Amino acid sequence: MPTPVPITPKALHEYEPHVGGERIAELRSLAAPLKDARVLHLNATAFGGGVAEILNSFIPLLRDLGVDAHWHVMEASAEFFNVTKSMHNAMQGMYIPWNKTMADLWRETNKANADAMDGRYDFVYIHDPQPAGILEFLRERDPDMLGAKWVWRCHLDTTEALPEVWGFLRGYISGYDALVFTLAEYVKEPITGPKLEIIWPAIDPTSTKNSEISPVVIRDILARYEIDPDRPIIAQISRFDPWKDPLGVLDVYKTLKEEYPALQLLMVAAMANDDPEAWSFYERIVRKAGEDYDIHVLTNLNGVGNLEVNAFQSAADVLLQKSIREGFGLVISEALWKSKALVGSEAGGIPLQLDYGRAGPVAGTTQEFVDAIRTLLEDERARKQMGRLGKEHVREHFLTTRLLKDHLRLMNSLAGVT
Amino acid sequence: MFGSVATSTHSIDQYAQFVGGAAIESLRAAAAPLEGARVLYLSSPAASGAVRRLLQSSVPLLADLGLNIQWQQVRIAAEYVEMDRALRRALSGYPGGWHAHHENEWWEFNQGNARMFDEEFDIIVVHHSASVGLHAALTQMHGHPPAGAWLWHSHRDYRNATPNSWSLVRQQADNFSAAVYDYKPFIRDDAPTPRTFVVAPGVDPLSPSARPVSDEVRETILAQRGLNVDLPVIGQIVLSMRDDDPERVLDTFALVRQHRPDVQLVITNLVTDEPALAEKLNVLRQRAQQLGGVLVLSEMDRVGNVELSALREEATVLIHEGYPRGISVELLEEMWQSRPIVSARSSVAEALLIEGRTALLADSTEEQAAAIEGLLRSPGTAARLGQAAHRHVARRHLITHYLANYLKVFRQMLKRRQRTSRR
Repeated sequence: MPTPVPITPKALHEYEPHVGGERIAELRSLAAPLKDARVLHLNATAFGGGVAEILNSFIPLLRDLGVDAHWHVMEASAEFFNVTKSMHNAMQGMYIPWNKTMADLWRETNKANADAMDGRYDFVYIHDPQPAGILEFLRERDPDMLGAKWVWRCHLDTTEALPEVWGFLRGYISGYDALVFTLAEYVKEPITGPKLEIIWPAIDPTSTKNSEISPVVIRDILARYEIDPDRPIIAQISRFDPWKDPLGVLDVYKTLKEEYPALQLLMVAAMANDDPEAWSFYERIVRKAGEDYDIHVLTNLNGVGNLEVNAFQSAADVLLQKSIREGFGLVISEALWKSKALVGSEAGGIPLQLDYGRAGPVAGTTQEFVDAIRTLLEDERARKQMGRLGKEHVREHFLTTRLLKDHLRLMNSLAGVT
Repeated sequence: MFGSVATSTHSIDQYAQFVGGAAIESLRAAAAPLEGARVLYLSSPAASGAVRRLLQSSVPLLADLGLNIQWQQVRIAAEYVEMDRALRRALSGYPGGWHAHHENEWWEFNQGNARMFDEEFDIIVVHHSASVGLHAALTQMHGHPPAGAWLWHSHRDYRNATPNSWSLVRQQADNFSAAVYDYKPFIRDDAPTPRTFVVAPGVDPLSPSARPVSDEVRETILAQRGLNVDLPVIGQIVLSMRDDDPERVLDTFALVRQHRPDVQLVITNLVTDEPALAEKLNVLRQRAQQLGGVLVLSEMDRVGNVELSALREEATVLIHEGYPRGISVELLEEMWQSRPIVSARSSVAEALLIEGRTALLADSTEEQAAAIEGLLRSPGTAARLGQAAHRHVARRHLITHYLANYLKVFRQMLKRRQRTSRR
């Protein structure tokens, strides 16, 4: 059955230094009509990935606002997650041989989770394709559960979704009360029936990863990982998968390294030890890096935690995000929140977070990345200015408090509260 | 070849500051006969943090000592992930998870990896239990045993392994030239192969998790986690949700709190990669909230090396209610950081700790609570215990000792091979 995820309490007043008292008061007022409303968020995993990270702070803050919020993860076999990984890739445009066996396993697992669900909720949020079928299977079993307002939250860019996978999923999501996408352009095609909402994700400014840390702490952490704080650093903080183009990042670095022999590259990723695709990319990165010890390939499996990621982002002279496809790419907001210059690709939510070039250059080809990074490495003033603009842009649009506001509004609207 | 793994770039001379120049010279002398020896360390992507940490530190140092060493990882394709996990669990004594179909998958997995094994080595050290079949798969593929001395390094306590899983591993390990264990108590009476060695893990004092933590770093971390720097902290840093009983740590803490309401508790490194463990963690968190003064950190909190190190250094007393059923570098790091330790009795504790001198051993929650309270009352005793622990690690359990022991194993294996080939 879906398993509850432990929630560590958080208090909204901790956000006041970042966004001001007025915004906190606005949230309390929006939450008042939802006091004690039972809300369930259900997704595939409690660990790894942006969704788990968002829910980790979102759920306790909803609770602090008086909403009876819960977070469950679905129960499923490793085979199911192999299928949904393919599905995930297909939803983002990769060709996969979608077949009946995959569809059947997805249906069976969704049905088993639906059968095991209990409790009564006022709102149920289902995240991403993995558990999207639960509503359909509950329809047959428990009409009372249908008394809740059901929201499907899609964190993916479905623009190029493989038609057979999109077509399969479409039948299951059309029964929801609302569909929430990250960007309007991520919706593959209009879906009649459910209310369509666009809500950007957000970062938590109070988390270990995003809290401000002093230069002394940063230098201490870099020294532990044999990174020289006195030489230029560029970094990409991203999973090792084809969509993040890690091999392209190495090309960018190698070109720049000819001009800047002291340059260091940090490639930092969170990876599961049983993810063969990530390991295959890891091995390719290590092979391509060869004996250049200024390339630091670091993962959670060597003990890199959130504090280290914070230090690496804070230490970098320029960050880059060379994604070919991106759900939203919250790592951009993380970097900008640290007042860092970042060069990003045009994928997913990257240009939006870069304020379409005003808070950081948007680049396409490897050469464009090289040129943009070179310009920033050469011009400290430009880097600082970009950093300042970026931080304010994030404060305005990409912090947890804005996310809370959007969802409180959506729930009020679904409940008929004006 | 398999995929390579990134390592640190330390050189052996950097360790003279910890062990003295003479010890480094003696390592160089021990390594001289092995100059150019082709050595492969073979691990798996699913290797534990302790194994990974040990290889990460030792591989560049062995290379610096003149060995032609590589660290590679076998491939575990998606269809074998479950088999690999099932074998690990069965070998650790969890019943019911290792089935006949797993055995077929296990053989296919080894055959697949045998096809990727295209280099020749003088010594191959297999650090992954499921890959113990690689030798047999290569023998079948080529019609003769593969070249080189094959060592199986067993990093877990297999004394409670399920009979079917142990029988499989034992039979395969018999093909190897020798088996290496982390601790003597781990060696079963029916251990495979005629030769066994014990090479205890060692602390790398230059690793990100073992270096001293500055005041500013520690204060930053404690503030982020909401710990009160003015009050004593009990830390249970290494605890496996699967193997141990974290609830007992709370029992001990509750007893300590009866007399010392000012004490705080940090429990960290809890892995919740199975739904049942997440449920257990949920219960633990709820109880921790009721007790108050408890910080529970799981893998979701992404606690890294620096934070672990700082939490350990801040701890007034470190408690070890249980141990993962295998190698522990973390315990040695805690000793290296001069922390006073109160530990339950276990094979690892008995192998690494000296009762009453480098740590206090106590089993029941009442005994543990009394020992902790005693150390809280007597900071001088706590400091002496921590210093003794540090000295013990400095004398016997640094990465340099680990290297010296491994070099001895390598020399013996190569000598044996030379003798065999002369005949």
